[in-house]
Amino acid sequence: MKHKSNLIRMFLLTLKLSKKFYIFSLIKAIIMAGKAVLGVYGLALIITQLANGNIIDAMIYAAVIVVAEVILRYLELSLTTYTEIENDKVQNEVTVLISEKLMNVEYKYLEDPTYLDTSDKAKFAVEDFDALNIVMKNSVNLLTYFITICSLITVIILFNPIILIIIFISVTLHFFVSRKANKKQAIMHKNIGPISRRNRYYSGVINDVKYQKDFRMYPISKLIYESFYHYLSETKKIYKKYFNYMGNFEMIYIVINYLQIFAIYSFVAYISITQNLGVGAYILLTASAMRVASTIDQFTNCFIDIKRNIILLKPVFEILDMEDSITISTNGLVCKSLESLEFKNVTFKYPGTDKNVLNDVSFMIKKGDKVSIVGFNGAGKTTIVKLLSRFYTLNQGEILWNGVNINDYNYESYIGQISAVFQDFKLFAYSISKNVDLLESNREHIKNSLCEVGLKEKIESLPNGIDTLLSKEFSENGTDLSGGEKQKVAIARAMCQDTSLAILDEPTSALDPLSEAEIYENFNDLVENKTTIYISHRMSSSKFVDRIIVLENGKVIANDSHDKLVLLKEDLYYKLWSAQANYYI
Amino acid sequence: MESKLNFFDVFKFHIRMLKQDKEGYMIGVYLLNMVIAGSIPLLAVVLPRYIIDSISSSLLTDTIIFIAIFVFSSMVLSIISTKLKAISNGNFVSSRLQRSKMHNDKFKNISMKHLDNSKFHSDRAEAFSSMQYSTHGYQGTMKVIYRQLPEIFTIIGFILILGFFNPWIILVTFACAIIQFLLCLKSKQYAIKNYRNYSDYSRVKQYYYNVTHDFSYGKDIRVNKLSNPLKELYVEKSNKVLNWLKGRDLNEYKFNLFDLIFLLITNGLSYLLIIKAYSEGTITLGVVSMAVMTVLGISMKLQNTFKEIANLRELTESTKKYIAFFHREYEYDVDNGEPVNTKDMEILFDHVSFKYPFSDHFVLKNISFKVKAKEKMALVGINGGGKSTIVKLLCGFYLPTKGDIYIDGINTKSMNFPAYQKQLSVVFQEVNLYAGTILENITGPNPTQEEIQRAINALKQISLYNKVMSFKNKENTNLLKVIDLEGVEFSGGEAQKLSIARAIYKQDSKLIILDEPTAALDAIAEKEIYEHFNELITNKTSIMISHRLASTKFCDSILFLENGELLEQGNHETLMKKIDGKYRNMFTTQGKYYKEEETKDEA
Repeated sequence: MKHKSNLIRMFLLTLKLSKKFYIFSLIKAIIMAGKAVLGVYGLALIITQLANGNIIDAMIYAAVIVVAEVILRYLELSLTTYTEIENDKVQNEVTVLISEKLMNVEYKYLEDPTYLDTSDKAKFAVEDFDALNIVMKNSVNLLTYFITICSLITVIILFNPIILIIIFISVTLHFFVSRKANKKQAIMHKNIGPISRRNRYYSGVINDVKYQKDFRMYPISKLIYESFYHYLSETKKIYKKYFNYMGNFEMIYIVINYLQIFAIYSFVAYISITQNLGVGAYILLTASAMRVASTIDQFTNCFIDIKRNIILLKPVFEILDMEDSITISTNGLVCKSLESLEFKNVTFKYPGTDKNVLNDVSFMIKKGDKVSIVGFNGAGKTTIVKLLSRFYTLNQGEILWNGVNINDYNYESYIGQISAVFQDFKLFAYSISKNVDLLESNREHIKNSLCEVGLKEKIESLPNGIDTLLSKEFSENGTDLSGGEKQKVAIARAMCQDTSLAILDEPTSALDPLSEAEIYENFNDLVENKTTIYISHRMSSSKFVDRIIVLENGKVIANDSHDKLVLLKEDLYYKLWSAQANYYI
Repeated sequence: MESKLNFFDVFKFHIRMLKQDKEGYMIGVYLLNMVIAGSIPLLAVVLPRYIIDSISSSLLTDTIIFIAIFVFSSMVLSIISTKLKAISNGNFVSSRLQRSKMHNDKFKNISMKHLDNSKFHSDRAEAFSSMQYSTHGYQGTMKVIYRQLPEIFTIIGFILILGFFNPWIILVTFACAIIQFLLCLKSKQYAIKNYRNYSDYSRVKQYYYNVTHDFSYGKDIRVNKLSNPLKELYVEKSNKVLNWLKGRDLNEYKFNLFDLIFLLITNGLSYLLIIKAYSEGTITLGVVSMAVMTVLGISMKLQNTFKEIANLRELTESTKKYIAFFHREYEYDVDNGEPVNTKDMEILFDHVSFKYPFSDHFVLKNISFKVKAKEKMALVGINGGGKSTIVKLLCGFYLPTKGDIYIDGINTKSMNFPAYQKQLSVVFQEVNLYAGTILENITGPNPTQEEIQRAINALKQISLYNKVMSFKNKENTNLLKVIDLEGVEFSGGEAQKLSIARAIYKQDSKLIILDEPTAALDAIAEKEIYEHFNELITNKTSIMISHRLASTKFCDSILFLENGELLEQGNHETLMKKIDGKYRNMFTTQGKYYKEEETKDEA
């Protein structure tokens, strides 16, 4: 069974993260069982002594019981606190593991909707359902219950095993009802999931500041609010239904439970009276029997809970199982600085699609080349960047770096040779300087890079200079840069790295003409000795690159210098060029 | 400044909310449950007394009768209480969700100026978090109260039972419980006092959690080799949260240890008194059992109840943030003020200066200009010049700090913005698509036949129609994968086109603003859009921001902005005549890359 192996994995994983948790929990389990047994025996012992008229003995028993209770309580309190602390720690470390995994998995997973879903589910299981916590705590409870049941059953057997039969019948009935209830519950959970997820999405959109402008201008606000209201009331309805249903099952439990009580009490009363066992025995037996029955119930519920939550945890393990061998492996050749880069008959389609985005693409780039890739939206330009970054594996052909397939290099050393500015780059909510180089190994260098992209004045205007935080969310002194300024920081980040290939995908889309020109002018300083691949819709960039690769429908249709290409008046390149250039002439 | 809210304000708030949701009957459910669920433990100590005494006297029939009475009365009460629980559990969730709706409604159309304020966001986040979880804040409070009312009922019953037996026990038990309660309150102080720390820590932690879990950061994390450093930061930030939690737990633990003393006193004393009473022959064995069970029960229930009350303080603390958020007055873009209903839009900026609220820096300095009706105007200049700010002022998101803006002679300070915004079409730099159908992304929900037709025309105009028709569900295809796992994702260019379709769709618009809409498009698509756009804006006033000066060349007037100042103004020809002009410089800088005759490239 797959779930079982997940359970074992969960134990091994959490055991590795915190041995203390399990040690504390084990002791706690024994203590709690002791407490339960003491609770059952205590009163019976005293009453037996009283019934026999041994007042002094009764006093001694009472004193011992009180002291024992205090000691057990002390141990319980201490162990609870420390297991709780350990538990928080383990929970957190598991989320750290997941984060680490998500940041290191093969990139292709991140664009795959199924994995997106898996990661959502994993998040949901850990955050909303607290599944890991439930499994860990319940496993410990299971042990407590087991010890309690064993010790109480011994007592009952000594008196009269028939009581066990009554207990067994009722527990079996319980078990069947609860199995049915759990099946129903699982189905309902499945229905609740997507609805409350949508509710959260729409609520999230409403609360996200960036959408506010659209809301004022377009009927979008109505759309989002109406959808939000809709899913909100759906969520309410489904929860009401859910609780109602579960309530009905609970009522069946109650009936079974009280019938059991009636049977046990009557039977015990009968034997107490007919066999002259006395009141003490009655109290002891009824208390033990009730305790055993309820503990067995708790035991099965606990077991079911574990089973259910282990299923919820499945996506967590799926995520932890995702391949990151490429990104973290230290195997492979050490990648040296770029001498030549060759696309050799590269054909590629995205996983799960039928259309080739790149179709038999071949080209060669030599050290120091500045190459631009142009073409329509959707021609496959960005895909080339992704392939170069080893985000995907090719379907056919190969990409050769210094004549060696890029997959044969050690990932870390390979990616260390590449810096890239993506179209949809992201900056982080830490200082500007740390955004450029998180380790801040050379602050002068960082400053220079920022100046070269034209942020000198901006940085001087900020109170904390390059140490200004890039978000107002966490500090009043933070700053929100404009789109263009952010893009400049992203360019600086790519350029600051000591790499031999720079890929710039639409790096100036948000820049004004002067800033763009500044980047163009400084281009050679910026990229230093890096070989450069430049992707842009601004055809003007073609002028400062050595060569242009024109892509159409995933094929290379031209690969030459601007001066030559612009002469072919019938071809795509000329059309693209003149669409923009004509206005300036 | 908001007045300090206390415990009772929160309860009043809860009751008000129940009434507001038309679920006032829930108060009845609470009370009924109090009596019913609270009676069950009472039966469980009272009836066994008779059972035990009958056993002591070896009366089998009596015993069985008592057992039957005990079992069936408890069963009936339990069944009723279960039903009530099911009703109220559903109500708790729905009531909490209703509060999130209230929050979102409060946020609706809030004046943009609040959105720049980090205090506003932290207030709001705190308010929001109080109804995000089922065990915290709002719902947590309801659950605790619902659970504790029957306990209190039981305690009162226990007191009455014990009172007949020996008032001393009650007194001692009570004294102990009250001291424990006070200690417990004190132990919670730590969490309440340091709540701000906690929320700051967890906010930062949450940011790193989101970044590491957000796939859109994936590319940059990989290429910039950020996975390790980000992980370390995440660990560092989450350790802060963990340490805080640990501090809280240890603090509570310290106070919890006092319990031991009270346990010793109450239980020791009770056993002593009960055994003594029995030895003096004043009570039967049944009463002994009842008394012991009551004592154990009452001290446990008292402790528990007082703890829950202390816990309630912590829970209500977070609900208070929610209430406070609702007490605070915010400004809204409301539907009043002078309506604008003009044939043509004429815009006048009269010495406008502007700084964002909570900032000291003027982003616009003394700007004056006029756009005549049906004129085309372009805003150009380097980034940070103030172009987008002018757009925001024109959209009515902000009011000028100094000076005035007149739209057709109406000062924006006294204008009805929502009515005005109906006549605006704005294409923003950032394009957002929403989980809904393609059609709904243009028309909003439930479009009429006529609206559908207009939306389709808009799609045709921007040449997105064929693409849309290629989907299985055509214009009713869902965007994003939130609602429909088969939902489509648009490329940047397609998304941009859709946002332009939104603008075209607004038929009442008199003023069209384009804030650099073609940044993500290829050269041909860009050209196409400007051509469509020119069709679109005939007979309308329009304002365009673009870095592609070629596209603004034909505007009637061009404003050149730099650092918030209006430096040049005029049409392309006039501006090009200024030899050292900034505009001319910019135009030629950009153009030179397109000139074939240029001797050699700059390099």
